Amino acid sequence: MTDVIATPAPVEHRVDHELRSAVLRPVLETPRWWWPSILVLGAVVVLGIIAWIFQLAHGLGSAGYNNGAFWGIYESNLVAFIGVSYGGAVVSAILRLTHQGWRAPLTRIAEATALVTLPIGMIFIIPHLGNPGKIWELIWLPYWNLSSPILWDFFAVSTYLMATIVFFYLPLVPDAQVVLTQLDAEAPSTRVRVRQTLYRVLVGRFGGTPTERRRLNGSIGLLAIMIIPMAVSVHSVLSFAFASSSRPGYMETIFPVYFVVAALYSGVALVVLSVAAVRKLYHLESYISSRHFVRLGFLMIAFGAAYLYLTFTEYLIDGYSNTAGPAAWVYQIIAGRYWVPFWFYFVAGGLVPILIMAIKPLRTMTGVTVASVLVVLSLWVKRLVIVIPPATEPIVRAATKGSGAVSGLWGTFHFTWVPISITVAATAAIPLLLLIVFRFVPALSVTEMEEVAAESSHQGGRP
Amino acid sequence: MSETTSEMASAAGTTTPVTIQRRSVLRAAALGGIGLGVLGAVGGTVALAAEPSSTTSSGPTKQWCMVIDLRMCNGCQLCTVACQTAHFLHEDQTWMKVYTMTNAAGEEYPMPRPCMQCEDPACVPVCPVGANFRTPEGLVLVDQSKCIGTRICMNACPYEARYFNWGAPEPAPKQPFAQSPEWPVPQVQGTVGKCIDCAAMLPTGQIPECATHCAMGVIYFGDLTSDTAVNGQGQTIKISSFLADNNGMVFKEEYGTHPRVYYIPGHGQDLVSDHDAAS
Amino acid sequence: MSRRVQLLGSLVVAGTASLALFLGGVAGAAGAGSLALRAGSPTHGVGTELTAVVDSAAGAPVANAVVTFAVHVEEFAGAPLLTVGTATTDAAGVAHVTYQPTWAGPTHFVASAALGGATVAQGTLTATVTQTDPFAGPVNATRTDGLIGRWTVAVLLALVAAMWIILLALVVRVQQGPTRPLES
Repeated sequence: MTDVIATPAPVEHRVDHELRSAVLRPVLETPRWWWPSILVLGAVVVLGIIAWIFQLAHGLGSAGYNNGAFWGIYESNLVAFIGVSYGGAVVSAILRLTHQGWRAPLTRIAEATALVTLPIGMIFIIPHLGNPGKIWELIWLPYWNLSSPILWDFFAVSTYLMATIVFFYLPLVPDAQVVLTQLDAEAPSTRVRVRQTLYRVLVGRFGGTPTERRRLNGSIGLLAIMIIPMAVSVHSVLSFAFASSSRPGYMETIFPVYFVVAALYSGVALVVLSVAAVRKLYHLESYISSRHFVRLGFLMIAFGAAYLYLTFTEYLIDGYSNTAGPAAWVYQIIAGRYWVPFWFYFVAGGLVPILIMAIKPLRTMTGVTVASVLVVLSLWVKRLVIVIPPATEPIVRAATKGSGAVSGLWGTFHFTWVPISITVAATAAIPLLLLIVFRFVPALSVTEMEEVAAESSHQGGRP
Repeated sequence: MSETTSEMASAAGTTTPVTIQRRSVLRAAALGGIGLGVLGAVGGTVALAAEPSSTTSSGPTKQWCMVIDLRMCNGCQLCTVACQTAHFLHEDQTWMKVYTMTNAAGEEYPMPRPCMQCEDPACVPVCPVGANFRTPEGLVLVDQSKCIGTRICMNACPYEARYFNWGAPEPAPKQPFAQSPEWPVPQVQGTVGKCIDCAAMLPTGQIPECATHCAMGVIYFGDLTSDTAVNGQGQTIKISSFLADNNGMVFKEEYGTHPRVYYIPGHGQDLVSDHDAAS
Repeated sequence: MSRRVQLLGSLVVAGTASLALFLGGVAGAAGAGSLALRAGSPTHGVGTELTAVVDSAAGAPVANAVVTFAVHVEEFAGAPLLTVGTATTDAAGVAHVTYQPTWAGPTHFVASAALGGATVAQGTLTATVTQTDPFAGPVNATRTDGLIGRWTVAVLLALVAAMWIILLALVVRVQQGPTRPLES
């Protein structure tokens, strides 16, 4: 396997002791706030699991579903949570491929965010299913129906999960070696021994020689190329589950692009939030500055503008056609029963983030963080607007006058405490899992930062 | 699916000889396996007891279909009730649903909607685990022992004809038929159910419950291969000429599903009764 | 709009089975007539002819009687009657309709004629149909996937498999230690 990316031979590796001690401290010693945070977040997750067990006993009806609303919150959560995992692929892979030196302190956080949000998104398959006890049929070949978009969703997402794990793991190998070196210097105890075993497994026989390092960088480069089309395929195939039907509002050729752009948009926003949180918690202010936030902010609103444009074209064309199904559905979203969530997205997820980045005094670390909160929240709402109205609007009588039976903000779908608890639990699981990951893994990619620093100083440039 | 097609083709092939000579035609029929082997005339009176109609050695002999004469429908929903009673369904599981439609003059008219038993069903290919299937007799059924409850078939169906078991199903006493896709009683929580044309009852010559209980004789149930259909009032039609004479049509033809439920449009008009005059 | 169902091809009713059966219409009614029903030679493509001969109780042909021909549909419980057609008798008391069989096997026909008042003459005939009109209606439509669909699926599956192999290979490659990789 030859290296796809021409990687320059690493220049002499300079160990940045200040960086290493700052980054490794939270890995080697338990921070004081760690256990309380884990317990609080864990309790929220447990509540979600209890809600799911309740749903298991009482059926999906307890989650607000009915024959007039066959899809709802779980399906949009599936899309939204898998969507936010895209930040990892973008920040890490795209910036790596374009040799953006400033990415170095962000890649680990971005990849870890992807690593935790993707499985959380996938978990939503389970409450979504009416009969989760039979989920094994999806991995059992005799049951496969290869013409089903859902089966391909499953293939695409699980392959992408594998790629995300490897993409998180590969840059971690030299860092694990660094941690292992530190541990070897500590007094032996059970805790140290357990950790030594863990890092030995992670490191394998990697020794850190220039040849191995070149090989590692080549592998990461190849994976960075691979993971971009894989990420695109995941949300495209996810959109097929909706778009490959004759239902007005779902049968949209724009959907694959629309879903991918939305995922990138909300993904970058979540990376901003993770970076802000990790920077504060682990005191990494000297490595992550407002420069990083503003650059991420620009990347984010580039996707945001594209998403606004796609929303406009979709609604314009469906509405303009004046065909009974699509036009009526567009009317319901813009001016009918779903107008509140749609305009919330439009203002909070479309206009405000662009304005924040456009007005110079607002273009600060706080400004970008606020914009990211708005984006993550409103893109979740926008997914509800994508999923729920087409599933709840009647289609047999859509062309006739007697279709006014549907009422309520979300049509025939009702939000009950069950899906809300599960959604809150899934949201709490993101920081929970990130805290667990960063308890074992340095929050910054130490070796990568040292390499980038060495490279840029070699070239006389600024990191 | 392809097996079915080839069987149909071979059955048709045996009937193609165009010779007028009787004997050769008979031989061809016998060779093709569709002849009964009973040659010659049968004279004398025969008791008109129902007997199993001809069965051939290969291929399905029935292609079930439904003809719904909207002219006769008064929207009483006896069909819905009969269906829900027979299959022990919840009130919202209207496998046979009577919609109130509006015509161009603004008048409302009732329209019963069973499963269309499409020849090219949209619900079958989308299921990830292949829980939906189409029988050689043209019935689209759900194997609830396979169904994992993704509900993507409910998304695919253009007729809203699929219903989920959102909670515990209605309890049912011991049934005359084993629980199967042909008789999914009681329903299974967390799976999809739909109109089955009372599949388990058909082999004995019974017609679906909705047709049996329709007091207006709206719902004809029939077999496309014998071109006959019968309603609950014992009225029998020759499907092809009935559809031709009364402007038979299918619902949402533009969706490409090729439904096997044919509608006679109208509301309250007279029947074209003398459709045989031309033949 | 409508999906036309058409009849194609030919039919054969085996034999020239004919039968005259005399059933007095209403029992005890005075002057009950008789009705003879027979099947003609099979005529290819247009069906076979069913002939009814109506005689009065006195044995004289009855003209201008409306005869209704029907066939028992034994496919359905109760064998309901399907009207084949109606015809008016000529001076010889004979009426014809054409029957195009759509199912094979022993088939029971009934012809009846109202002969004025409460008097109904009825005749039955049993014949064995050996060949039916092939019906063009039921089509097992196939989707437009076919070969293209199969190849697309095969290629996509291979692609997914390749992704997994490459991912695992990358892990092995990085973990293998200072030994030189085979390919370089």
